[in-house]
Amino acid sequence: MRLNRVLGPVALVFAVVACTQAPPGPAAPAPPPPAPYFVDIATAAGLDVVQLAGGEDADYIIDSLGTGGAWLDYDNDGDPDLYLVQGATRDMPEGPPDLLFRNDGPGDDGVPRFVDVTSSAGLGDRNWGVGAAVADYDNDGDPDLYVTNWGANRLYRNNADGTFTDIAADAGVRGSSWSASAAWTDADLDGDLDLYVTNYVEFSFDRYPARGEQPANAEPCVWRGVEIFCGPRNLEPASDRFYRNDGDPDGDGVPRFVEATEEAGLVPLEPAYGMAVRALDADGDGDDDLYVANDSVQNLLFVNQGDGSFIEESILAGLAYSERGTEQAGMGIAVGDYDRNGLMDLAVTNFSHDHDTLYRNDGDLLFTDVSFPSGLGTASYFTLGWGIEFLDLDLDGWQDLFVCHGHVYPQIDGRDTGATFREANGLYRNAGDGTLVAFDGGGGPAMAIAESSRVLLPVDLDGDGDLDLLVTNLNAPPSLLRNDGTVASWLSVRLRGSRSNADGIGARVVATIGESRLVREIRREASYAGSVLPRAHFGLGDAETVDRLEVRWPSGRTSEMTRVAARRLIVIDEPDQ
Amino acid sequence: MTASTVMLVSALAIAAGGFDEIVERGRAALRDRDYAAAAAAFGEAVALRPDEVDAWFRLGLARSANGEADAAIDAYGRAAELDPTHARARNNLGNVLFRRGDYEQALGWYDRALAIEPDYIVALYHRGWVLRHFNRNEAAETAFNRCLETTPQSGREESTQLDCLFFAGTLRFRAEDYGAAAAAMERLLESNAGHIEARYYLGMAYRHQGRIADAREQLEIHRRMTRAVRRDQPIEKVDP
Repeated sequence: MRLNRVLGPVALVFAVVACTQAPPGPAAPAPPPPAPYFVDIATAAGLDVVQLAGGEDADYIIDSLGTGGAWLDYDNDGDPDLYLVQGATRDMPEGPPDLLFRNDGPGDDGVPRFVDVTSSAGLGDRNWGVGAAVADYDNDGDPDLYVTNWGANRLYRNNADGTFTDIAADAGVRGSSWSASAAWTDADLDGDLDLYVTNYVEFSFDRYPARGEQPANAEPCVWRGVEIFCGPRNLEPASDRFYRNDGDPDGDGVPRFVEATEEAGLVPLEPAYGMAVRALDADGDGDDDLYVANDSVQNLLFVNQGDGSFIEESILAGLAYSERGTEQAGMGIAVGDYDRNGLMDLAVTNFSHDHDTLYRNDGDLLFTDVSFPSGLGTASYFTLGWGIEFLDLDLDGWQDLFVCHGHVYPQIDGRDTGATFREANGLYRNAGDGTLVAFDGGGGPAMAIAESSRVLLPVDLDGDGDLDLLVTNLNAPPSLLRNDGTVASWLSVRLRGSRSNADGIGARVVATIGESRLVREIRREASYAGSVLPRAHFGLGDAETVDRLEVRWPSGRTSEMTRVAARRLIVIDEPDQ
Repeated sequence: MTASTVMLVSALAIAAGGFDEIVERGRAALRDRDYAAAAAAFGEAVALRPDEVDAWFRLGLARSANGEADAAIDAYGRAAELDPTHARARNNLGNVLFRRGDYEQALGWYDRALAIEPDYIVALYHRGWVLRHFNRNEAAETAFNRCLETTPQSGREESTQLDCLFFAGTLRFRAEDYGAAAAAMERLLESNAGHIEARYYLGMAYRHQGRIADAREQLEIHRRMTRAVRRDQPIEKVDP
């Protein structure tokens, strides 16, 4: 059963009822529909640009990963700007340039206007791109940008004047593989951010034949009776990389990153096809652990030993496989406390004819796959998921779930596989009892959009307190889903670190309202191939005050505020002690 | 006897001989897993004898294996219509529906199969599987337990009972009854030490019970088995 429904007719009825009940005289504006109510404003916002992501026929595996992007306030003017990654094709290996859009604020219609400033910003990478990861790696107060590519990656230092400079080679983070996602984390708690990069397949066009061009002595690659591109199974996995940030010892403005994957214990027992990575404090001990979603083989949980070294414990933690112990095709990772027990849970998107997996954190580094008891397992069985996030989309205090859907094989359309190449995205309401159900209103007209979607980037674009979403689509313009539903109470928190890293990445923020404790972690990485603003976002229902707001900084310092007024973004500076 | 009658009888006789040959050709194609050829042969067979239940049933088998879901549903449905006691046609029709996501309809056909043969172990297994998929765990457990209580009539049914044991154990696991889950998996592994998923559940049941060393041992065996046999296990059992 698909949980997403089109609200159009419902909204129309709602509007008609509102009109017929209005008193004579000037018509009162119709009340907004129930949240969430998503409307696509990408074209009006100036984002009607195709993100090239490979050949339309998907003859090679490289045509399938899609392209991501990042929200970042690169000019520090307080509103979110947008970086969109561009891929390429076999015939055009130097693709269109990646794009930076400056947010110039809302026009007369209230829709924000994005202006292409790529050239003036010194950007425009033409490598076959996949994702982007933003962080203030040098703690100078502005966001820098890492771009993952097939081939050389980029590290763009923000020059604080609206321009960027690629320092990836000098900094030692360029790589030469096929990178998908990246996460910035202060693994060793030294106050600067280290970098974990997932790498997928050691790919070249010369190395693997195209779909339908297998040698005569080789079996064709077939999925449910449809001939498809081969992989990733039987292709050579690429190894993930971890780069430790050793600061700027020469004072020349170029940081030194040391490739420390093995030294840090971040090498899996078996090679893997890395797709997504997220930092989280899985065991609640105050340091960042790392969870890696791999395609077709087991996922990984690297548990931080407190000093930046890690031990891989995914299997004993119950996070390597599905409930049945089967390897899945991990794509994206959501992190959040969906059951409000104070511990970070995980959700992982997977291939079609398998289910997305919800892992409940039961404490003591033990997770339980509750995909089917929650309802997610059945609802997601025939969809292929990518970006996924726990987000409180109706601001009721419970984190809901949004999932990007899109298949990798265009050839399945018209075939009886139970799946289609372009699919509507998934939207699940957290019922507060461990189950994920459909929103009564369906989520608005934009939930009917059927694309082969990939990357999910939430943001409060209009500052109204509810979450809007950018969704990238394969070889199509992105969707910019503005949430026009009723806005309940909310609070957003931004941190400014001093001893900790500048954005407080890795901090734990707890909002207490009556008996309810809402826990968030400050992160930049999105679920797959993207980056978001580092905010703790709380839906508060009808509460206009947060009784107590606590921050545990990566440095171990703590902040506490009481009686915090709601419906605003607050900034908390790290205390001196 | 008129000339035209002679010709008709003659044609029927030829058709009768042809029918057996066609069916044999279809059976051979099924054995060779040439499902397109099998579907073509049984298609010819039912054109010759539209009331031949077994030909319709085997046409359903061939079409299903050949990825022709709608056509397989038609064929199984015709077999079921022609023979109100054909439990296997109903079970397999449920499988086709299940594979394409029509779970509720699939469940209905399993129930129809069980209404004909209440001790039909394969249908009990499928019914439990679908109910478990829907998280209707209590009803699923009832189906699996009934499957386990039934006396198997063949090696295939004995094998299916082990699958019922496995899924009954998984439901104990979901109910957080880790002792019972471990006991079910231990019993299963006595019969089939190579059951990868049972090995995993056993390891995780031990983990939940705090038996860390035992858990590590079982989970390491599972990991090695997984590595050795990258899995692609079908979920349904077609009952020819």
